[in-house]
Amino acid sequence: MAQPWQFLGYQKLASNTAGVYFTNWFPAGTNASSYWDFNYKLVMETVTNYSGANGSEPGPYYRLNINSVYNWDVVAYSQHDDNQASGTPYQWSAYPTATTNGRPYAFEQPSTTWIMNQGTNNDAANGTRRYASGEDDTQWGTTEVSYTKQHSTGHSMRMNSFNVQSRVNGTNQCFNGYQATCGTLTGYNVAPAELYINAANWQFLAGSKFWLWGCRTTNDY
Amino acid sequence: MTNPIVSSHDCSTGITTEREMTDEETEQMRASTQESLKQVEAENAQNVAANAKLATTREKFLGMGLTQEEVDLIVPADQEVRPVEVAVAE
Repeated sequence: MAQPWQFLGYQKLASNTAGVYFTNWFPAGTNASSYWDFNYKLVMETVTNYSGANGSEPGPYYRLNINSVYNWDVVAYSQHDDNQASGTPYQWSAYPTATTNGRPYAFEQPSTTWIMNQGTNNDAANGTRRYASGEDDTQWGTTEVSYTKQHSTGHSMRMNSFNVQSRVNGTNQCFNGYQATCGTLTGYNVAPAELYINAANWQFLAGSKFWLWGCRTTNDY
Repeated sequence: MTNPIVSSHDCSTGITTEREMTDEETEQMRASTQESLKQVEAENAQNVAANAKLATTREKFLGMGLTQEEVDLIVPADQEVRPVEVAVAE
């Protein structure tokens, strides 16, 4: 029987950082192979000052690594807020959208673009950003990852992001949503020791925040 | 040149520490980035070839007297070719 969700840790970065670790995220003496099922939830509020050329790739991109668990098959979609100002429905953009197989990292750019990007402020030619003012020349976005192992079905993750990208080259456009899912059978009964969030192509700026919860059959902290 | 910073939180103690990446970690990060970019380049090459075939197919249909709108309904849209570039952190 699973225990209630347990809060495992919080980090607010004091420096611009290329990687974020959560270590010892299984109770002492246990690991993934100790459980038929487990759930982890990671919430990230990340900040960037990177301004992409067109609001799409390349930009800051991040990776999620569960050591000893690899060979992820990934499907990713982004949501492109094309015309929210006039009240029309959201539209699914064709870009960036990706499927890929056999990746060592879950949600790895470029093939499965976990992006964090800002448009250009107060630039009439390139459009303005939707979610930040000219005084606040950073883009913040929220990303939530649910990581699950279920019995013999291997590992799976679901990622939902919001406000992770604003877009230039348009007067009222931005990417404001992103969702992806991935799974692997490889290493489903191994013993990952670390959750590693890697900013592969940029940095997590100081002030970025990370929270981790776990739901397992054992809580011993 | 110093290595990038990493922040690590030990869930068992609640202690967060900041440190420089080891040379091994830095090299691993760079290597995996390069590997990813190579994968994109390979996918791009496949997509460029596929797009060329799609363009030829569209021309053939147009030559048969179909309208552009009809051709667009028959022939799938071009596949995405992604830019390959690595940003340099400040």
